[in-house]
Amino acid sequence: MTSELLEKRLERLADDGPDARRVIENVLGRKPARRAPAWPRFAWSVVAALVLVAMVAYFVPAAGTVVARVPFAGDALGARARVTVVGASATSSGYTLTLVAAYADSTRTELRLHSSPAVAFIGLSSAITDQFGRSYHSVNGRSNALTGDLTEEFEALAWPDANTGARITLTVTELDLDGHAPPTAIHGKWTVSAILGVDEGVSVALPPPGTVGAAHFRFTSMSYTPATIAVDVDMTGATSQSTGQLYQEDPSNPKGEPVLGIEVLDAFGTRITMSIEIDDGFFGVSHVHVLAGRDDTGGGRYTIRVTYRGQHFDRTLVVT
Amino acid sequence: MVATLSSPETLTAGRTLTAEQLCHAYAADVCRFAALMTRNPADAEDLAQEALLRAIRSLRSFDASRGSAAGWLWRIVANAARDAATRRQRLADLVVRAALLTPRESASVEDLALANVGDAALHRLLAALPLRDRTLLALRYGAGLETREVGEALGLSPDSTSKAIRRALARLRARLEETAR
Repeated sequence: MTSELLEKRLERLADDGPDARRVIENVLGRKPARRAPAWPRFAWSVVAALVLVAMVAYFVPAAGTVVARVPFAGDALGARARVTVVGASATSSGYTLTLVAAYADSTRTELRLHSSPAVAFIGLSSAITDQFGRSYHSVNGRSNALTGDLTEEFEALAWPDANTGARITLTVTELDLDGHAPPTAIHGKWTVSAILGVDEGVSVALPPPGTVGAAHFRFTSMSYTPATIAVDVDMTGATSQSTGQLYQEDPSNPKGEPVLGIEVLDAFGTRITMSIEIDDGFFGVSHVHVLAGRDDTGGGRYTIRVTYRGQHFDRTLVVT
Repeated sequence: MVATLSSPETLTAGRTLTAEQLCHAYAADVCRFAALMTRNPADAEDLAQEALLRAIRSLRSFDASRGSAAGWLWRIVANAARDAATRRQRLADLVVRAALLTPRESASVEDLALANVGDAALHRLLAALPLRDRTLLALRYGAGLETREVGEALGLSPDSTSKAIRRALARLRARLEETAR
């Protein structure tokens, strides 16, 4: 087959194409389809962006403060309301529980509450949950049963709350009216929420160990946050049983003094220790965890004073 | 509406172009082009309509100072053909996959040989050519464009266009001879 023949075959083949007049009628009879207006796509983009921002705001509460500053977005998502972490309250069974303030760092989560009418404690079953659904239990608590002010300490929030911030919810199902045994309990359900920033601890170089009498103390961890100083010590030569007793050194003090004292003193010599926990471990080693509160007033020099049976040694902690 | 056809030459002098002018001047050639680009009349009609509609939607972008209406139009038509071929290929891939799952009742190679290069066979062989070859042949022999105009529509130099058309023809001829044996 020659090229000329093939070319003619192709031209003839094209003759069998569609009827041009019908095509024209069809084309001109149809209004050209308008390009889809851009606004629905834009609207969907806005909706998708808002959903994304909402998810970030929920799981990364620290971002909420940023969102709240964004005009429109902050209002649209209610972020401004959510970042109000103080003043949330719940009422049940005639008792109102208000979350006055909250603080979290790498060592603990502390909630300041107020009950009206006043109660002695919140129930031991109280727990907080974070935005990932994880629960943290109460480890300590203090209260003023006359005023109704309560300070409840919970376990430290886990990763990644320190990076994302935490959206916590405190659930209380029982209030203890007087702190007596058996407790006079008020049952109900109180749920209050807050958004917290989580302060990460700054570890410092460990001071040298010290010996007082028969007891030897080796520092294993020392860190601070804007509100807390945490000290961990391994103790040998003494146990929680022996240190739990009182030591009567001064005859003028018939009550006596604790056998063991680990204190944190601020630059003015004021004792700021909040709690001491002693766990007896293996091979005669007891672990002592000391937690002290500090005001976030910048750097400073703190003294760690270890006292055993009336004798003590000091170590210095410098907060920058 | 009564459609009338006019000559493409009447458009080259004007600086603006209306949908009616466009259709009346080029519909016939677009239909012939579509006939070579597709395997059946229905697909050809769809392609011709789609190409013209696309050109009408793009009328605002036509600037007579930047080139002829024909060059502008055939670029749009060639692109429409390419897009349609892509869609058809996707569909064909699905059909081939489906066919692989079911027993084949006849051998298409034998059908082609029996048809002895009839129009249907020629359509089939055209459709089997690479899209670029098919577009070249459809513009040259379907739409009746000069080699230079084909090159203008496809962004090729006249020399390259001429060689490309010859190569496309040679490939088609080789397949025809192979089928006839």
